[in-house]
Amino acid sequence: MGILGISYLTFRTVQMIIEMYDGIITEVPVLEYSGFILFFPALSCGPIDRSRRFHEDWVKVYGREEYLEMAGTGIYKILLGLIYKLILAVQFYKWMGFFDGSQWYCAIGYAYLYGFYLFFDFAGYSLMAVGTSYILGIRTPDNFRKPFAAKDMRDFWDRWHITLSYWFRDFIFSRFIMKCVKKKWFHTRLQRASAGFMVNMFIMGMWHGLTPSYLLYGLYHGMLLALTEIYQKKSSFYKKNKDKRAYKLASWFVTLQLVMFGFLIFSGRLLELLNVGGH
Amino acid sequence: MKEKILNMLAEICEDDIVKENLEIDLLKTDLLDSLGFAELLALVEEEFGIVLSPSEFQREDLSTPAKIIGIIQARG
Repeated sequence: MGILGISYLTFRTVQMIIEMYDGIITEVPVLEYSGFILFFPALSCGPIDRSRRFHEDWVKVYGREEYLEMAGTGIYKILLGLIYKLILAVQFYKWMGFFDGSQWYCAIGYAYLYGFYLFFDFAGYSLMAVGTSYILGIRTPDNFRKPFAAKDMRDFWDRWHITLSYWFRDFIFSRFIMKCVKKKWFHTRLQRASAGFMVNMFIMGMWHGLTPSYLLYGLYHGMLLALTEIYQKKSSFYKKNKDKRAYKLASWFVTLQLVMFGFLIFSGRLLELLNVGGH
Repeated sequence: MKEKILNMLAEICEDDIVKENLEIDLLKTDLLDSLGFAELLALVEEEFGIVLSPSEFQREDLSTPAKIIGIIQARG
């Protein structure tokens, strides 16, 4: 039997242990700690708040005006979340049914519809969780910021499941890079960065679950982030053109395709299709 | 100390502009990303023995060379 929200409980607990080790957290009042760990709107699936940010809202006494405005934002987020989850996600999920063939064009259609379904389902849930916490006076951070408008893969992870990717940035990626710098593990910055992205995303894949699809998803994104880094640092074409309109548009388009292909892996569909092809 | 920090920053950002304009926004200009930020923290620890934790600050707290110098000096 599973424990509800165990993986998200782990994030909130582990970050506190690391920050205590770092000496940033010096005291842990029992009531506030319980409130943070078991905060029900975000208990089962995030967003992942930070204890020191949570603390500021926990001790804050809001004025009437300020609270009304915050509660209003909360209600708005809940309603928007309902539209996302109960109308849009459901609709995209239904359409996914039309693309269950094994032809290549079905895979493309499935990838896009699954991507939009996943976004509206999870972003909808997240909005409702954030909205509920606003009403309770806790400004839980947002989890999504127009992910399909990302201009490159790094930008995508600044927009998709933000609290998770920032958690990984702060508690895995940054620390791995710092270790590498101090121990001089790699010859060049690019090697170090590439290794950092691979390790970071592979662990993120593992966290989603120990299935071939999730592991592949992690490796895929690690590789894309590493390639993005190498390309942006090395390519004179990139440096010359990056601010041009046409380049930005092309970059957005390529990014969207890469993102959607990632979702095809994530959904388990890609490996399923490849197996079917093998028989 | 200030000069050393600026040299580190110039090396990480691969641009000497950070030495000249201490108020430049390192985030908006893409000069300092998560990677550069982690490298900076490691170098600061090595050079000055000042340990800053990656999750301790919001990125906005360290968005310009001047702010970075301020925080490191306050810890020094």
